[in-house]
Amino acid sequence: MLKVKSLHKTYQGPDGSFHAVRGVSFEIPQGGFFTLLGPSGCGKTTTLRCIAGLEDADGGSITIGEQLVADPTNGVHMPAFRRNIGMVFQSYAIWPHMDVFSNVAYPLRVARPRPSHDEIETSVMEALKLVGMESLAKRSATKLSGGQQQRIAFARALVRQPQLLLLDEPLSNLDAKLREQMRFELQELVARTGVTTLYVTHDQAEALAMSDQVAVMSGGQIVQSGDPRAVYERPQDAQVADFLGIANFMPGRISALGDSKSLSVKLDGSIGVLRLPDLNSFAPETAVRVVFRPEDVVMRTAAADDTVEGRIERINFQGTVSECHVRAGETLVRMLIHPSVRVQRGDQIWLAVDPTRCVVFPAESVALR
Amino acid sequence: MSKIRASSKVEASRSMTISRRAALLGGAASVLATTTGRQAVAQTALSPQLAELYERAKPEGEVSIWGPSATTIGWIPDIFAERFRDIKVSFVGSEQAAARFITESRANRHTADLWFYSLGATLDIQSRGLLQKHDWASLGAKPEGIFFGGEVVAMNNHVSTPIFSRSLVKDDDVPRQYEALLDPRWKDNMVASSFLLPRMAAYLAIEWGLQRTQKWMRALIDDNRTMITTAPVSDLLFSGERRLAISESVGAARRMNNAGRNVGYRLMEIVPCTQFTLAVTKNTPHPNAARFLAAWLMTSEAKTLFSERAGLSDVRTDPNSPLSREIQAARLKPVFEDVNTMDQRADYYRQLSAIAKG
Amino acid sequence: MAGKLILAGAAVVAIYLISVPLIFLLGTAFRGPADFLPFEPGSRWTLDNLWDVYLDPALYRSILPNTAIFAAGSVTITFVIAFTLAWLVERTDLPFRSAIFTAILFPLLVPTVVLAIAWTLLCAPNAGWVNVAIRGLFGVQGPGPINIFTMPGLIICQGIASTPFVFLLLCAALRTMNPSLEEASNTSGASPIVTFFKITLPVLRPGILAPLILATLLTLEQFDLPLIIGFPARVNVFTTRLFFDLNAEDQLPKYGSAAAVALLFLVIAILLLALYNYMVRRAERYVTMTGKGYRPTRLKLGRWRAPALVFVGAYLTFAAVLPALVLLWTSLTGGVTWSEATLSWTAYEKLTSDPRFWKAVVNTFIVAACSAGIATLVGALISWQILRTRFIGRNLLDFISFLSIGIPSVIAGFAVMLLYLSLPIGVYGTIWILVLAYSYRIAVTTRLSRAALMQIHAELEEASSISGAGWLDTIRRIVLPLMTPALLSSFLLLFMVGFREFTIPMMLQSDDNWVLSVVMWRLQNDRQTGEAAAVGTLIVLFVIPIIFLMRRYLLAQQNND
Repeated sequence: MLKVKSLHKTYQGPDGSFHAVRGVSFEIPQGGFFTLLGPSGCGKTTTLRCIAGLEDADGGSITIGEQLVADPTNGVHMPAFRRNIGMVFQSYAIWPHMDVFSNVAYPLRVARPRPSHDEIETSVMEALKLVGMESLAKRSATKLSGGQQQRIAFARALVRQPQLLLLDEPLSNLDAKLREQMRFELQELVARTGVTTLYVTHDQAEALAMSDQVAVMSGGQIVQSGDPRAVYERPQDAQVADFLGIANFMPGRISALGDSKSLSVKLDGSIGVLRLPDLNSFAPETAVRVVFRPEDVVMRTAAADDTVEGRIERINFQGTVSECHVRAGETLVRMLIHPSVRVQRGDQIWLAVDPTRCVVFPAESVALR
Repeated sequence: MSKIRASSKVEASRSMTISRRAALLGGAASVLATTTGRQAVAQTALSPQLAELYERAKPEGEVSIWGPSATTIGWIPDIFAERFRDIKVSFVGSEQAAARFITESRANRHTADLWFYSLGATLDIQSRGLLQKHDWASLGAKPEGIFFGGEVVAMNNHVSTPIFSRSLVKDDDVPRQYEALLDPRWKDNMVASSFLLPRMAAYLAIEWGLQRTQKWMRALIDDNRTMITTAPVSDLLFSGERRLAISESVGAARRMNNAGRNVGYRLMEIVPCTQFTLAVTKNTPHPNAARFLAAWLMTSEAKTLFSERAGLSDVRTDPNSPLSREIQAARLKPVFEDVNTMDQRADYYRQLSAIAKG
Repeated sequence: MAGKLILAGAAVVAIYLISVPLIFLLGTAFRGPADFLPFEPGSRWTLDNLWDVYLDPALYRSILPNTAIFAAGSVTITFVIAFTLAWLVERTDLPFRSAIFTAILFPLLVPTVVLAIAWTLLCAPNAGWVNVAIRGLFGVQGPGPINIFTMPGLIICQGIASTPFVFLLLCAALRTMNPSLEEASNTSGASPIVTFFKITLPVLRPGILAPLILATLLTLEQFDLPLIIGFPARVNVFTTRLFFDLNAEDQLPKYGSAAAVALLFLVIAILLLALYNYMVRRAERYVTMTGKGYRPTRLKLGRWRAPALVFVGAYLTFAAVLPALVLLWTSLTGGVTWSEATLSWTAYEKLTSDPRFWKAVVNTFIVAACSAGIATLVGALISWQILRTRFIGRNLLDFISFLSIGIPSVIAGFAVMLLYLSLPIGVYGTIWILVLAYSYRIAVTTRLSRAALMQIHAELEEASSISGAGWLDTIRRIVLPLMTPALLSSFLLLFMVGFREFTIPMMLQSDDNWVLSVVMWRLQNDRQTGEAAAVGTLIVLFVIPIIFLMRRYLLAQQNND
């Protein structure tokens, strides 16, 4: 449904030019939910705005459905209002001078040819029902709460059943509880309407929960793209690993290469040796970082194979789980334990890591550490 | 051509031979004073009477004179600064002087010593008993020039004439008859002040009757499209926008010439002469200085200075002044401001003013 | 405690500054007959003034219709020009934007009298430069073709003269627009034109109408242009009538009659102000709801760039460049016809060598600065009181402070004169009476401060309190610094207004308190056109640095948004 090829966008500012999007390519199939995930400034919003037509790309091409909507090198710049899209803005952008009904009806009223009065009425009420706001149709826009405005924004974006739905961090202005709730509703909504969706966010929990595909962006480029589980469990580099969820990085050196599918890493500080599947080829003695998630570590009271020695520094009770900070060598490992486990600060314990859930990176690639 | 005319022509041509730059430079010494004369004033010695008044005035050190504008009285402080250094003259020149004076008097503030204004405005002050009787006769005033039992003395006149820029209009082009101004060749070419025109016309009405005057004014404004304005007419005259300013005065022409211009005036068949008067205020804060200044202003030296610096000549009580002779020689009819015709004229003024103001 | 005292003090000062002219106005309207000044023994309470004024057919036949046409016409022109300019500067990629912004403010510098005279010189039917040029080009005869002394002439001139102020306010309004509102319309399928009419204009409407209403009010109060251009055109409006009542020449000013006329003006002002307030509250609600955009989307002009620049250039030429040239020319030549003109610096030499001129300069600066300072401070304190406290009378205070716009400066001047003549305070005749008279314009500063305060969240002040700071410290260290851009803007605006103020100092003048505008008028009246123009030029030169200061603070505000 959406094909983006080698998208480039450069901004001219007072301090010189800024190359915000540097060759981004991806595709979303019909009905898919695709998320661009990354920190502020990574270019995800710019990419979205180029797809919307609110910015003009400088290079590459964008195709929505069968329509080539942007191809700067060949002079194709379809303006935003001709693209068959719906968009929800971070600030919702509900028009204050209209009531709820008019806000949602707007895309239909400006459409050429304009649908009949009854058609508009029906479509709008359907859209409002979709978001549960049909009773507020006549309410003035200035009298809506944040959550209500957001729902109206959705209704408006979907009322003319567009080919593509663009969402620009729509949940970031909501409080935590509401955000979770809206996340479910949004997933529901998208599933029910089957609309192709492009979602932009910096919240990795959202990205992982809602998407079919996640693309992690950094510095104007897509660093890794794939389904949520793949990106989470098999980050391609340390940056991605760090961005998605909490990651523990343990320094070590390749000590031995076993058969073709495993290697041993001697962890610095002689706190242990891990035998891990070898997914990349490493030379012996290469300095590496072993990366694993908190939920993949188990606490043991005695040493064993593939364990790492450590000392508990802090325990944070969090209700459903306790987060434990363990000092293992130079690293402070974060892990999760059941609240009922009786350990305390200062205890010496051994960490058992599931080797199949570890990833090994060369040490230089983790320079940001 | 009469001798009077010749001398004024000579006077005029003298001003033309002085280069413009020199004239401008030799012009106003102080920008905030009035337009000034070209030569230093010949210093006449003080008469014994005046000398004594001066001595008595010195301890007071200052005196204040109020009048309609800086043009009319602003030159006095400069002269005193030159000649009578022990007395500092300050002035208030304002169109609102009467209202201010009355208001201040009510509040028991007395800052004005002498009052110099047209008879009409002086009436407002006099009727409120704010002036004192003064012995003007001993200062040389003629009986017909003393009003209200000595409270007010006639000083000089604002003589109403049309004026024009000599580089654009010749003296002889301007008719002496008011009716002749209705000629189509003056269409779109004349300007008049919204205040001065009705005032001048009120004098005409005394001679012609109201109806004829009204008709004349309407034709002037509606048919000949004379511009009526509140702004000073000099801009319009010198830019050539309008060629004749109907209701100006000899004084205006003289002042402009003092500033280096080349302006002519044309005395008409009827010459309206508004009366400027002088009075001493009742609660004068500097009585001796006031007496001295009043006495000095009555001297012929002062009158000459008045004429040169402020452009105001005495036509009423001095038949020998150059302007008087000019009027006589051309057999024109001056009409003076008088206490008995004042009410009538004020009434005419009100009605004619309505026409002027639309 | 100190806080409450200061606030109460500010409120009292504000009410005092405004109610003096107001009460005077109300009282005088009912005092007569005209032979006596309102406070004299012969004067008594009477309705005669009202009958005379309101039963006069001329009022209904010509004055009211003329005033209505004049106001409607010039406000329309002002709106069209100011909105186009504001739009070009704020929402497009017009080149040289910040220089243009500054240049557009130029007519604010110049006393309107000067503008009037300059335009007369340019467009008078017989000898106006423009007309001479056109006639020469096309070889036609006779007066014209352009005659400034007509109703259209008056309307256009007033429209142009009022533009800078409305332009400033519209720029501020345009800046409050959240661009995502327009983007949402775009992505909903509306073309740019449809977006403009269905979204941009309606959302901005209250923010645009408010300055327009203000402009109408200010136009109704205008003196100079109706007198210098309208009156010769036989177009008499309200203020013309006021002028002739107050300058009856040969007679005492008719204060009663003038006050009766001004009463109607006050009533209209109150109505307009109520409307204005309503609009502003609507606009504020929209802004609060939608938040402010952090980056305005700028329309690309493309091939419209040239016409846009031509438009801006035409406005600047007629409103700023030509009057400045006329001023300069007149000051150097003394205002004669082209053929007689010789250039010389004499006018400037005479002027600058005269100590009284420099005294007037100093006076003008002091008066303008002090009155602007007082009005700004009081205005800021008042608006704080209105917005942040629960003080019962605060709406009334708000209303009264705003009412000050409805009082013509002519009335304010006379009221002040009367008051200080009667009070034993030795202020009459000094520059301090001018300071007091000018300071009644609290409306402007209250409005600006209020807008600024609304953007400062109350929590910032609360945090200061929690940290242990008393009220005074909070105001001093938190609120005032945050409000600085707004305070500075209002100070500078009032400074410029005070600098070129003319009616009030004319009325209150004495030997000691001459200011530049009075000096100019004096010279003009004394036919010293060259020096008058020189003063005008110098006024402009003195105030140009102020414009640059204003620009820095106003643009800084723009960039911070």
